[in-house]
Amino acid sequence: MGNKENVYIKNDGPVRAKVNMDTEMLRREKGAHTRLTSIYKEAMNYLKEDDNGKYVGKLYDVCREFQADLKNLYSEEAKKYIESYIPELFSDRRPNFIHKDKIEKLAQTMLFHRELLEIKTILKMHNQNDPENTVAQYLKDKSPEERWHSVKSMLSFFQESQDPQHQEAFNAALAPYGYKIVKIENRETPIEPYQVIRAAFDGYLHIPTEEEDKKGKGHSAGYLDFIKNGAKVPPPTKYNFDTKLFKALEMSDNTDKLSSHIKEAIRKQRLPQSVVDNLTLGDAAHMLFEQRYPYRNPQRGESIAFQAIEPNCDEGLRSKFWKDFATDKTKVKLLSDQLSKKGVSKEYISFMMESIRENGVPNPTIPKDMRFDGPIPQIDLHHKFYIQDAAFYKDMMKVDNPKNYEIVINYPDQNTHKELLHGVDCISADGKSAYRLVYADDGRRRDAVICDGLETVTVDTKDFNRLTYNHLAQKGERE
Amino acid sequence: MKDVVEALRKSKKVFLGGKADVHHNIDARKYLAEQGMAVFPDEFFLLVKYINGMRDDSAQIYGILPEGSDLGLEDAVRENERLDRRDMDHVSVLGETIFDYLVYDAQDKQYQLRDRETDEICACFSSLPQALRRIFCI
Repeated sequence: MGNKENVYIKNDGPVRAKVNMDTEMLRREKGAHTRLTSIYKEAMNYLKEDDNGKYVGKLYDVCREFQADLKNLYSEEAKKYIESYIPELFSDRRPNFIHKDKIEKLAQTMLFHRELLEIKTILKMHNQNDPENTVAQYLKDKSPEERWHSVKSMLSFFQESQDPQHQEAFNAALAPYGYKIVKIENRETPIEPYQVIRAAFDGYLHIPTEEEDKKGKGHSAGYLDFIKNGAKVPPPTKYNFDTKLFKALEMSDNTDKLSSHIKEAIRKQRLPQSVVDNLTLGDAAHMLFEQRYPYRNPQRGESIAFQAIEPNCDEGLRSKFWKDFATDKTKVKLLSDQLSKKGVSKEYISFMMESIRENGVPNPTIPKDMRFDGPIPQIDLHHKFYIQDAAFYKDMMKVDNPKNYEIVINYPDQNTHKELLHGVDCISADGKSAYRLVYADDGRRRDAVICDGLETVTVDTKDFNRLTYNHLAQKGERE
Repeated sequence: MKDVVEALRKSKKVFLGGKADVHHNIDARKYLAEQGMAVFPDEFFLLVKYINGMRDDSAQIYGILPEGSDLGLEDAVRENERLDRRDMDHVSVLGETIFDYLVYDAQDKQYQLRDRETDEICACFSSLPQALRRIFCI
């Protein structure tokens, strides 16, 4: 290599062949016309379905506006990009990193109208009360994907309307699937206990992402400023650790053991008291990470296990649940049967069960030399009574009762179950009430539940005293 | 990185280039340094060892292609020269989408999607695989 001439030499001329660009433009333009035709076809179908004319005008306007947009684009350099805008418009995957407001707004408008038509049909059927033409049958006749979309539409529509009549109609539609929308008192769980409960469940702390910072669930502004610009005031001679975070850490044995490490990190970093007063769990995670791995830069979203900080901590409630689960033959069989029913291979199920038994991990990493037929599910553990509602308990850690867990199966290329379960979460305009999607009969009978799309499997039916949304909703009704 | 390479190979909609010549990678590093341009991040050089340039209908990641490409892929060094950015001493352009450029900012140690017209940052990523997953929706 020594004296070999560099293949790159200074190039002063044009570097891109124009002919390639022109061919590319033609190809894209041709595609754009094809897509445009299909959009109009789709719009026409909507117009046909719309029998009372309420939405015809709006849809027509949207199409006109869209046509005008296209004309403008054609007249400008951006015409080569048209083809790429369009596929997003009728798919659920909206353009995420593309911030061209006009196109995005149009896509949202079109999707909104699609949802409205769906909702209108459901409400109309419910009000007509025709035994031959029921909402249940309407949903049943749809493909699983379309059915999921209809349910999602109902939930997002209800978030906006919060109309008791809609609640009644949607609950009737959801009844065959064992779900219903309930109204409960709005009792917000403070962020510190919320995050501590979450961490105790996971068995690790994680460094917040930028998104979390924006939502006020990540780093504190004071800590971010401190790590960027250093201290503006000297550290106190004696720290006051009587803060919301340290109080919350006492809630769980596991997190309580981390307190001394966080205090030590604070002293080492010489944080000003004002920063300590507002320190978040995310800030603590960042400090602990730096302390544990001094030669590595903690990255956003990275996690650090409790046991890496304090060997006396345990693995977290999630892993414990799974290890206990693996010892119960009946539950294991129910989960295996459910997975087999959906085409997951026997080989993968036994590979997964071994990982659950050994490590408490239901989603093992597949070695490169292993291949499995059928889908590979993502198996999660959720709280039936959400951590965000832990404030309903006097002892908020009680929300982490294993009887409050449910197993959720998600398959690749499908919407996640979380989208469904949290699809209706909203607070009423006066701030006094909240709405949740719950199991219609979750009552006190169901123990662990396996959720697979709209299907649920009850694992156990022992009686126990668990706080449930139905209970809270009934209390609200009595009041 | 290998995961994302695997995902790209499985993806039917992304058109992939071959593997970069190791000597070309070395030459590119030297040339960029000589010209006072930011040297591309190591992750990018690692990527081109597996996939030297890629594209779909809405995005393209450049390759190390000093001798041009019959496949319509662009050379990252030449594209950076053509764009002639004022901040080319610490910002390298590694690819483009419909509206944005994918750049690596060596000062912030961050991959960013920046608007083509305004140069406004639309999204940030801490690693190249993260950016690729987002851009090609894989």
